[in-house]
Amino acid sequence: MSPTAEPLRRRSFLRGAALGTAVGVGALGVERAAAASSDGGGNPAGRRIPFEGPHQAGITTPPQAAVTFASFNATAPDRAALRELFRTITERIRFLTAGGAPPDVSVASVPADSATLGPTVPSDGLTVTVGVGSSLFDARYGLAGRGPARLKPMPVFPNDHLAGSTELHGDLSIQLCADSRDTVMHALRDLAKHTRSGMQLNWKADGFHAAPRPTGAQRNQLGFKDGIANPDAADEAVADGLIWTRGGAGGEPAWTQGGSYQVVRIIRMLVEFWDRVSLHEQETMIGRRRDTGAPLDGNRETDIPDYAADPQGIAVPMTAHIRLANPRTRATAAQQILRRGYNYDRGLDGNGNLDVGLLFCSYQQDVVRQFEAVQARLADEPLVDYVRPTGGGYFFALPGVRDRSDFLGATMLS
Amino acid sequence: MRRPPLRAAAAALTAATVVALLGVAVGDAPDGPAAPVITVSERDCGAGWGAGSATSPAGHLLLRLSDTARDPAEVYLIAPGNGEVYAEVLSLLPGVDRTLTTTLDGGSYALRCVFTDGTVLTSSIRTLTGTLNGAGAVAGVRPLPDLDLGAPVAAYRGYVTAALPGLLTDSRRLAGDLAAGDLARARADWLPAHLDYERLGAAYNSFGDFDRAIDGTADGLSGGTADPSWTGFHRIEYGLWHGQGAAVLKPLGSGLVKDVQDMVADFPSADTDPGDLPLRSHEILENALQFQLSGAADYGSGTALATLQANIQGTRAVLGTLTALITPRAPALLPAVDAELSVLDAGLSACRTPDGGWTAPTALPLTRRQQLDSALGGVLEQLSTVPDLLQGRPSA
Repeated sequence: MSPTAEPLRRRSFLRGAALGTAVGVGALGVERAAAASSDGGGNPAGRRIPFEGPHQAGITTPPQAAVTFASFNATAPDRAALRELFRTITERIRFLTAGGAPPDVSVASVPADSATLGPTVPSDGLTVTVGVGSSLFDARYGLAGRGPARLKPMPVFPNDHLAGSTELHGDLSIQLCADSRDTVMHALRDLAKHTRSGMQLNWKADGFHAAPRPTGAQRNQLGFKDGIANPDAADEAVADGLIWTRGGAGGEPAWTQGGSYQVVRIIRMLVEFWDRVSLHEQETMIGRRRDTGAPLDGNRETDIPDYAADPQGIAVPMTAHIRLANPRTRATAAQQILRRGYNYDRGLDGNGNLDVGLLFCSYQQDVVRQFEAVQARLADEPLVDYVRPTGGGYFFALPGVRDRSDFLGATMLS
Repeated sequence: MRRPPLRAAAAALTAATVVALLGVAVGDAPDGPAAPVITVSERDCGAGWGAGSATSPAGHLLLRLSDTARDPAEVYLIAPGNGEVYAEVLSLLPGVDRTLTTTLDGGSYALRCVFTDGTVLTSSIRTLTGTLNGAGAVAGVRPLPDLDLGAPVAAYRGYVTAALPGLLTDSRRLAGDLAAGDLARARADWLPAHLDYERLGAAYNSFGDFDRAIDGTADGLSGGTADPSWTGFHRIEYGLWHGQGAAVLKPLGSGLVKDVQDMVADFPSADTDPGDLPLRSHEILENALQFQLSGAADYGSGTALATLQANIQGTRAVLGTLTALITPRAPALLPAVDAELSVLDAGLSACRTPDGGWTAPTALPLTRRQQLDSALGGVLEQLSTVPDLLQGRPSA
């Protein structure tokens, strides 16, 4: 016997149980863990979003209420330890997203779980999405040359304010989303506890998804609906064409199949300044009505702006944010990105103004063809005076975990 | 940070003690047959625990314990063959319901009740069938009689006793420098004296009031770094690295020597709680993480990493005294901890400047700092098991 012979992370997490009942131990434990309900209605364990699949959850998943974007650097001493790190991350996500009772531990052990969510961990719509940054593909782990073809450090764009930023880049990106804030916190704490000798946090940013006000897409801190024009990620053909990277195509290594480029940008919104801007000016900068979300040439949020009929920008100015971001031409159709941003709220600046804004996150098949093309069109748009990108990074969300023997990054490390 | 042993509240009562174990469920199905109620009295720890359930399968187990007697008790779930403990409820108090859960592999088990009056009762034996093939079954832990910590305490006290003269000598040298007004020399002699103290393995005021007087920070003082009651190494450090003159520092040097002398004089008669040693084995470095690696206790010398290295030595000293207790209970733990401490130690040495000086943790490049955070955090996760592993389980 040696309960302490192995690090905590190597313990088995097989058993799932509902509070107050006796549940057996076995390989089927997790499958019947806390998450029977898929709608969360009345179930204290909340809904369960499957972890396994060809793609990671948390990308085309409709945004949950709370997010933490966390950046880590790998500290594992060698390739074998890095592989162990990814296995441990996978094991923890498997348990956390399934929920259930933490494993019993010997009397020589500290508790297996922090219990911040109570004695039984709810699944609560948790998704944990793991990405890798270009810095992981340096000489440390023998991964040089094996990285996704378009993965690189996020460049400094013309309107960025990144000097002195402590929230840039990272070897790993972990996006944690759940239906409650405390579930996100619990998951991050658990992941960090089990991986201390393998990775260390660089920075994290917490966000919230706003409820529809009153309907439709969430509003950002500028008061405008955001994310209206997202591609239909539920349409497999759309997702295959815009979101999922194709291994072996366009110079991409085979292992990238089913992954996706992730862009995270912390974009502060200078809301005190914004609130001193006339509604007309606000709407012409955005290109939409603030109350309904309709494009300036339309009546409803879902109306598609007809730029061909408005070549001079009489209705929707040529420099309006939505027109630059998505000109809705045949040539720019393949540049669309899947936005999955969250609002953030985190204190004050030195002037006593609020540090609030957008945790921009987008997923795309090709970060250069898509995000960077959009970003280039947006350079120096009128809106830049009111927003301040202060951090973030480029990552590549790994392909999904296919079955119980698979782990995140397995093909990358094989 | 302290866990007072139950025996400290020992009562001499021999009144009938009844522990009712309500709803024992052992098995594979959440909707299995209703569990029998098991009762424990002063004559029978676990009547019904073994009877009528000879064929229970291995697996998850939930016990609801209710002590209806006047006497508190410790209840252990043990393997009667070797006495190893698989689950426990410490300080089961009359009228307070408790739950015990564990996951047991196939084998024979019994309950053992240890009452505060010294009565020890063992239930009949219950056999669980089948095997979990290691999946989720908790391991048993060899119980620790309190007396077993006697030798480690003696060894630790010997370690401190042997180190105290060096601390006194080096403190006198520092005080002499301050008295002579040689502040450059004092800055050089401050670190060896401070490290002498940090190597002792103090954590969370283990030397009582002396720790605050000798090694206290300005935290908690209403005047902060200007508070006149602040004394000791960090106070002197603050002065030496913030341009304070010899006139200010001289009395602080002589005060330090006096406090060390008092501590040396007091130590032979001061108690070392045996239960403190297992706690020290992780608290020294928990302390170091909070106050040294964070830079919080750096008052100007920039030597926090040297202090952290001294804290590693203190931790090794404490663990060394516990080796004979830890190794049979967790054979792989100490080799793993030793390897991780060595990695951390080497990482700290690598932070030294070419001239042998130290770099303040806050000035380290991110990569180096994260390596240290990772190594220290990793070894602390390992060390966190020691207090529970060496929890006194007398008569278990």
